[in-house]
Amino acid sequence: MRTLYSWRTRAETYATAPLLALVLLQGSAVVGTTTPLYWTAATANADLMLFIVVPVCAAVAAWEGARHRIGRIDTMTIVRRSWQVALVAVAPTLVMGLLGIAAAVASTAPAAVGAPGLPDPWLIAVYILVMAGHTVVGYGLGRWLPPALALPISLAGSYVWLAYPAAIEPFWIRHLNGLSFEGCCTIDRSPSPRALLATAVFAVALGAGVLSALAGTRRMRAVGGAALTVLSIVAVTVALPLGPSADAPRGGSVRCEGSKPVLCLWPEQEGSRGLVHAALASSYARLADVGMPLPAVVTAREAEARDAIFVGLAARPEPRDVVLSLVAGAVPGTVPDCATRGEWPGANSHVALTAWLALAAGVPASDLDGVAPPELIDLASRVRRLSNERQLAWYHANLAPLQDCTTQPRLDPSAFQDGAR
Amino acid sequence: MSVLITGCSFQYRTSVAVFRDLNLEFRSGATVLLGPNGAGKSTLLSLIVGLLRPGSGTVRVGDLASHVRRTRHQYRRRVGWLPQNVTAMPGLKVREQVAYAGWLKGLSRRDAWDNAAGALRRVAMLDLADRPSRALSGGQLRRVGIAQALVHDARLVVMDEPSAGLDPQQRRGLRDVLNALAGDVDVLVSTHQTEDISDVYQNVAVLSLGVVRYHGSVPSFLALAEPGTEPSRRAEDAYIRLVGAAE
Repeated sequence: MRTLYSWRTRAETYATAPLLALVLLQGSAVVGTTTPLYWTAATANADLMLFIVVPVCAAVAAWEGARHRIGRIDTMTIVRRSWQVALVAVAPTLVMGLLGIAAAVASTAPAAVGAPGLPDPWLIAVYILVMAGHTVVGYGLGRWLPPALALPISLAGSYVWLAYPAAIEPFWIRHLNGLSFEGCCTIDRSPSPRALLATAVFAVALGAGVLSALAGTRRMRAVGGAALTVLSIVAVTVALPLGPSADAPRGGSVRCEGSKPVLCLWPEQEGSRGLVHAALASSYARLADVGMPLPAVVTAREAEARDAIFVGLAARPEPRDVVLSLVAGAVPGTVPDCATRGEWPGANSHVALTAWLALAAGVPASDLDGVAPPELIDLASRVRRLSNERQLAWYHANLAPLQDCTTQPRLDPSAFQDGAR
Repeated sequence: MSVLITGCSFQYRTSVAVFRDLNLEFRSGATVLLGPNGAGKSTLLSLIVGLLRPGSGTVRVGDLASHVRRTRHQYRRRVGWLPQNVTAMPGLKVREQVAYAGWLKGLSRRDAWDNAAGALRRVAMLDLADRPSRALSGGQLRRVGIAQALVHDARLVVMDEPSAGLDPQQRRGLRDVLNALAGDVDVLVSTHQTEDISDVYQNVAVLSLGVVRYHGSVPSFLALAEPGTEPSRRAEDAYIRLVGAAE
């Protein structure tokens, strides 16, 4: 089927190859920053390349709109519908954008190769909508503004809208542009459905608003304005409860197996099940020696962690990381509400308890660099020299201050030695 | 194919009324629409091609009315339109530009491409089909505009001052094209040029201040000239007498 006019006249003919090269180059620079062996994280990391793909699509579409403006198609008595004219005009731009997104996903894919699953289709769908939305807006600007304004405004405007919301508050703004997924996710987390929906709805709002406004009739402009307003309000409403990051506890189920403890892992972690279980079993035995009560289940799924210990693990963790995750999961990590209103005496207890648990679980003191400051490692080592009963008494005495603001911690182990009061 | 304007009123949003209760019929053949600047010629043509909608009244081309949404596409397919300013779409070659206009008029890509060659042949531009539109002269571009108006097999071609800004040689070329077209399709042309109307057109309408001052055949129009006026000046004289009488 012949094209309406030759590829020679299309900006995509000249822009696609450099765009893809740039995307692959950038992708190779950021691929190391993602959670390894997790397709969702690799796909999320690809959103860093939207910085390149989307503004280029917007500018190229603006040029196509400018050609229509220069060719005065508004003064022609056109039979085809304006949205059809617009979409056919930007179809090659959309193809270029799709290739750009495919290259972006491909460039971060090496981080996930070998992991079960495929790139996250929801993230890719949102990227496509963002790209399409900016493309249509670029085309609209090309139709409405002189080319000398439309092209730079499309390019720079698109880039600024993608880049800057992450640096400003309120947080909901950053969840409308599609760039908030960068940094998502550890294996136990996935993109927030709210962030995905807000981004998608806002992209549709932009596209629908511009396509309707291009219709030229007052009625369609009103429809476009209403669509833009209503969908934008919906997008903001959806994004409003979100915090700074666009991730949420991962859905789906973990597979539970083994005993002492029962170990529940994500599919990505199955390859390390033996190593993880061995490390946990050893720690469980050591902590049992001290008399430390631990739940029978250790799970990598945060949402299931009520009657189990949650361990946040990579796909291929080191034994030390497994034990430190267990320790981190065993100590309550939630700051009590009262801490936001006044002094929280238990603030220091958390690190001290973590250090003691780590030592009790078998981590050498020399491996605790970065986990606790030296003085607390030293303090935890002194606690370890107490009898098991007294270590446990010290643990419980310092656990209570973590959960309220009235109980004073008793970190000094000498207070728990024989004869002490 | 006749154009029937009945009880038509039109006013731009911020100005006084251009037409009030305008009644006019352009019969088949080639008709020239004369009138001074601001007479309402371009507005009338825009109403006929469907770019503007009358505030009241109707505009019909054949059996189709411009305001009926259901038949708007058929209406627009029936009418070809050459606006005052024809511009080249950047990057497009002549045939591509004409084919694109055909696609915008609802032709399939293949038909638009095939018809573009035929339309360019009719305006004697086929030999320049592969030239970039931007490289054309004003007269050539005007002919490309006519090809765009013809590409979808319009039955009526409406042209707004197609000879404006053309040098005498280009005007002659345009006149030849119009002569050739006049046998195939109905033509309605607005112009300020009166000297050669008897060579091309069968009918004349004169519009002034939104009112039709004259509508009839070319010979009857020429008969309005001062007796004794030399033949080459008779159209101009008749026009001035009509418009002068009106203003």
